[in-house]
Amino acid sequence: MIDKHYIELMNREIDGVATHTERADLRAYLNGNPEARAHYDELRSVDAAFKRAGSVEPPANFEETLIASVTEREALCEARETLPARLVTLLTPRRKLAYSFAAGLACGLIILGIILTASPVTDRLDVKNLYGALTGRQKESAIVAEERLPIAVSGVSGSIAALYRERSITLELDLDSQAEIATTVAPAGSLSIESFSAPSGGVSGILTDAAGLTLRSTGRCRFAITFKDEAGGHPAVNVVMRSGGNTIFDQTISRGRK
Amino acid sequence: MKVAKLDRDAFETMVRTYARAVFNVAYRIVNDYEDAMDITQTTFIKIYEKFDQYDPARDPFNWICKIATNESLNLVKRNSRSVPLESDLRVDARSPETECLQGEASAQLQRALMGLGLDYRIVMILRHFQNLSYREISAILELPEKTVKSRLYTAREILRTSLLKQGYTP
Repeated sequence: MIDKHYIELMNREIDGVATHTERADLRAYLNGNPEARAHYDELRSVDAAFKRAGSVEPPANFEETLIASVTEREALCEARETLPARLVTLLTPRRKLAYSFAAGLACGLIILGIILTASPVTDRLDVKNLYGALTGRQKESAIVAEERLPIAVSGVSGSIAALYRERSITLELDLDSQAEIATTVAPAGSLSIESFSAPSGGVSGILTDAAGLTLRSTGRCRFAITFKDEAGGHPAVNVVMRSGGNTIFDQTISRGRK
Repeated sequence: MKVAKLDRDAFETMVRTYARAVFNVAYRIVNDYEDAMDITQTTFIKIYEKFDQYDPARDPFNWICKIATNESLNLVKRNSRSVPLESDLRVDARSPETECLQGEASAQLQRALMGLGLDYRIVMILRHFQNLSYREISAILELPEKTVKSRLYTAREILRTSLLKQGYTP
């Protein structure tokens, strides 16, 4: 029977990690124990078997082939990463269908956008040809035409929507400015201000004088002004925006303007 | 996957220095010449892809050996899933060419190694063929040093018995 402690010492000795004291202890133990000596010799023969076995030779030019295969793989990966090749990979029949649909939808939206931009004045309702189907009040409140003007001037973006009725014009302004702007809306001809509303914040001051209605705002600001047309004719509203003493927008809005 | 020229040179040096060792570790674990070549190739592809993570101040062999060992383990596990008891059958499935390449002593040891469980086989291969310390083996296999020692001593005992049965004479 071999002491477990000495089995460990034998292994430590074989692995070359036994200390000087451990080696001496083991040597003394083996000298007085033939069974342990035989066991130790057999364990050493395992170590010797590994030493005799040596290494297995890979094929000739193994390293060169290995480097070449890695380089080839890199080239293949780079080729796959180029755009045309990626497209070829991506375009499976199902994806083709999906991309075609998306492209068609995008084209449709672009065309719709172009149409809407090209014809800002849209007649909604020919009130005069309704032959009494509407009451007088309904005729007056029905929007007969509308126009939307995009605004993109220095520091200000947004839009002005002009809604034309039989006897009034409503301007809906949706503005977004970085600095404070003063927007003056001045009716011309027979128009007079009928109502004003500002549903959102951003308005810092309102002034009405002979020049019209001036509204000071900063940031996002939406407001609507309705002008009543007392005498009919061809009314127009002049919209002027000023910021820091400079006029940044000046346009007359009237129905049928091109 | 893009390696700078300087790194490419370092990579090629790495292949020339360690490819044979990696091949041998893989071969001794999986006991198949072709599989060992595949594992070596996969190992170096992975090294190439992760080359930016390589710290030249550290011994690269432990890093390479860890990848190679994991690749070998994965292959053995895949094979054992697809064909049970495959490892036992493969001991006798060596080609004459392989036998000749190895030499009788090497083949005899390989047969004995394949009789060991995978956990024991790997520690013996890393310790005896690659001369790695307990600590290095523990780092590669992510095991406590105590477990490495225990497996090593047990594996040595099993091999002692196995080689004796085969009539091995030192």
